[in-house]
Parts: sequence; C-alpha cells; structure tokens
Amino acid sequence: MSLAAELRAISCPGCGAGLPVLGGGRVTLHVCGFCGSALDAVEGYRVLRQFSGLRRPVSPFSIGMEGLLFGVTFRVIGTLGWREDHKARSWTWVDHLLFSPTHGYAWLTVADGHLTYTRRIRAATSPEWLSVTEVERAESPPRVFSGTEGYTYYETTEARITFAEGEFTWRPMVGDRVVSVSALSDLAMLTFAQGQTEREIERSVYLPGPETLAAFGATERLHPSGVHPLQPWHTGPNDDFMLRAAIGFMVLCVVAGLGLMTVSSSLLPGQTYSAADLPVEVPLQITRPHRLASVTVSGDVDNGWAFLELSLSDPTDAPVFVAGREIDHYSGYDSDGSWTEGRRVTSLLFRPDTSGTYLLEIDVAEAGLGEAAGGGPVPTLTVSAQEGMANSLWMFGAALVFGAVALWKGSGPFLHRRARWKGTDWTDED
Amino acid sequence: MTAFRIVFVVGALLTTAGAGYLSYRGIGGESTDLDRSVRLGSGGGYSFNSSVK
Repeated sequence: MSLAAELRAISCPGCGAGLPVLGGGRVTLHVCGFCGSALDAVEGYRVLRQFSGLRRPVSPFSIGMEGLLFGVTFRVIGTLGWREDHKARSWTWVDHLLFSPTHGYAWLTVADGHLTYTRRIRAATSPEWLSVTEVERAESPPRVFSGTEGYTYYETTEARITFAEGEFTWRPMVGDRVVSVSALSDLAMLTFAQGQTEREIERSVYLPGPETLAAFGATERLHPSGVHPLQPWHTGPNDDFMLRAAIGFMVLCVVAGLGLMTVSSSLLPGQTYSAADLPVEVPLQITRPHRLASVTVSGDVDNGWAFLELSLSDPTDAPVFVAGREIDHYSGYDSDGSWTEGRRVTSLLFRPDTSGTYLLEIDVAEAGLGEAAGGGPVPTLTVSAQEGMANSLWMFGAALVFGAVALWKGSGPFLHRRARWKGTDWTDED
Repeated sequence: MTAFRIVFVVGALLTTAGAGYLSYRGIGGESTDLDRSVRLGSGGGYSFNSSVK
C-alpha cells in the first residue's frame, strides 16, 4: 500500500524538501532523507545536527510503506542502518521503525536477507536485566525467563548507527553506539539493549520473507544467506514421507538380508578327521550349480598353529582351485587378566559351474606349537560344507543407503538448531 | 501421491530388488585367495606334501 496523500507534511528547514509526518505523538526526532538534517520534532523542527554523505542501506522497505503484520496495520516511519565490527569482521543490518495508531511502535529488521519483527516488552523478566558483566562472570550460558518462555544467552554486540532517515521516538544520531545482550529461545529472542541514555528489553520473532514483502507491497526479492538464529524449522512437503519410507526400506533390507543368510542347504554335515586320516578326500554332491558354496574347516589347535592345504576338483576330475589357509589359537594370562587370539576356523567360498560330485582334498602341510616354525602336533579337523549360499552384504549395503537417507531427513531439525546457534559467541572458556 | 514420491518409491524398490538379486545369487561372495591357475593346465608344481608356507 502506498503513502496516503492526505497525511500531514512539513518542509525541511535544511533543504526545503517536503517530509511526511507519519509517526504519531511520541516522535521526537525527524531526519530528512534528502539533506540529512536531524530535526527536533518536539520544538518546531529546528535543526539539531546535519549528516551529509550518508549512503542509504539496501532494503526492500522504504518510508511510507504500509503493511499488515500479525493482524495489525503498520507503516514504515523510520530507517536506521547499523554496523558492528569485531576482529576484522563486520555485520550490517537495517532497522525500520514501524508505527500503528492502535498498537504503537515496532521494528522490522532486514539482516542477511532475513526479516524479523521486534517489539519492546514491558513484562517482567527473570532476572530483570542481563548485562555484559553478568555474562562475563557466568560459568555457563545465562538463562532468562519471560512468562513461560526460557531464553539462553546467545551473543553480545556493540553496534553503531551508520544511517538514519525518518521519524523516531528517541534521538538516534549517526555514530551512536548501543550494546546489546541477546538470549534465544526456540521461538524468539530477548535483547537487552543499553544505549547512551536509555535501555530497553525487546522481543524479536522471525518473519516469513515473501509473505512480509507482499504485505508491504515490496517488489524486490530477498536472498537470505545462512540460517538466522530466529528462523523456525520448516519440514519439506516430502520430508516425513522420505523419512518413513527410508526407515521402512531399511528394515525390509535388514530382514531380507538376515533371511537370505538362512537359505543355504547342507552339502556336508560336520565330519571329523584325525591326524591319521590326513590327507583326506571328501566328496561334495553339488546340486545347485552357479550358486555360492562354502567349505568350513576347524581344527583343535591350542597355543599353536596349522597350515591347511585344500584343493577341489570337479566331476570331470579337473582341478577347480587350490588354497592354503592357516588356523591358530593362543591363550594365556597377564596383568590384565586372561586373553585369547587367533581363529580355529577358516572358510572358503566358491561357485561351482556344474552339478555333480566334486572332490575336496584336505591336508595339514605344517603345524607348530607357540611360535615354533613347525614340527608340532597335527590337529584334528572338522569339515562341513554348504551350497546355495547368499551374500547378504548387498542387502545390508542397501539398508545402509536407506539408513543414510533416513538419517539425513531425520537429522534436519537437529542440524537446523545447530545452525541457529552457530553464531553464538559463548565459549566454555568465558 | 506426488510424482516425486512415486519416483522415490520406484527407486527404492529397484534398489531393494537389485540388492536382493545380487545377495541371492551370492555375487561378490567368492573367496579371493583361491588359486585357479591349475585349471589352465599349469600343473603348478603343487602337491600335498610340499610346503606352501
């Protein structure tokens, strides 16, 4: 909505420009946007100071714009540019003073493309004030309560005014500094602002950018950067669906993977062979060619080792493979208690090309006690075999992928909260 | 159901089916230390009484 034509106006005594008077009875200062004259609105608009060469900060809002916020019609009556410098870094933002004849004054702030709405509060807080000194003395982030809402210390800022235009209910001058201590809750921020002549407690909430721009008839677009401390978490239209679906598919893959581990059938139940039986030839009746088969050999090695040699030939007596495996097992006691290491069992997996009787030959090439090179007792071996085995790692891998999707979607609120608090200047070393 | 959700579910079903097929067939499960060169007729000089270690 544009500025209404019937509003009262004055002529700037500095430059003669017509300045609309929009701000109600509490306005004490009027800064001309053309020549930078700061006019005393209480005493005949005499020039108090003049600021020249000021650059108007970029904002989609300008004086005279009118819009609806929280069911109240506000008009933009003033603009302040702010800057904070700290350790070679600087932050800038723009405050627009809003006025409603029925609801008084409020602030519309533009910072990094984000919009916030701020009002002075008169309700009691506990503690009544949060000062820089109290923050510096605190062992943990100070807490503030207002009504039923709890706030945690967020940051301390010392900002200065870099630009002023329009009407104000106090006398802000370019160069004035304000020290603010802020505390953040899930929904709002409390700011304890200490100026040169007065101090205020303000409560800020986040405003949706596009809707607010539309409400004020602003045609420019905002380009928010990062996550604002006051920005609420918004679940995407498909986030819940993706989270539930990903969890469902993850469970399905885990269950299917576990189920596939049981689909194999026994080729050879456990057969035990003593040292005197070795080398031994074990027939394996393959009925499921092209599927994974396994041979498992265990030996009763104790504080020693054995090197096994295995070879397999197919039904035509052609060799399929040879392999060597070591089994070992050691145990003992030390100052930390008992310990064991090594494995008495070894398995090998292969894929037979045809069905029929395969011949598995097993021998112990060497065996030893302790770390001796050889000459130890040959262990008794137990051999078993299975066919039609599955490799469930694929299903478990798919479950991991779905789990990652679920984690991504499920962690959104947590990551958002962390991003909101990223800008806090509290450190445990404070 | 939106197109995105349909695509997501179809993709998830294809992923599950693909992983299920590979798992059922046991793809990638073979031991990698099996010496198959003997099938090529090399002879390999292998015998049960030799020490491979």
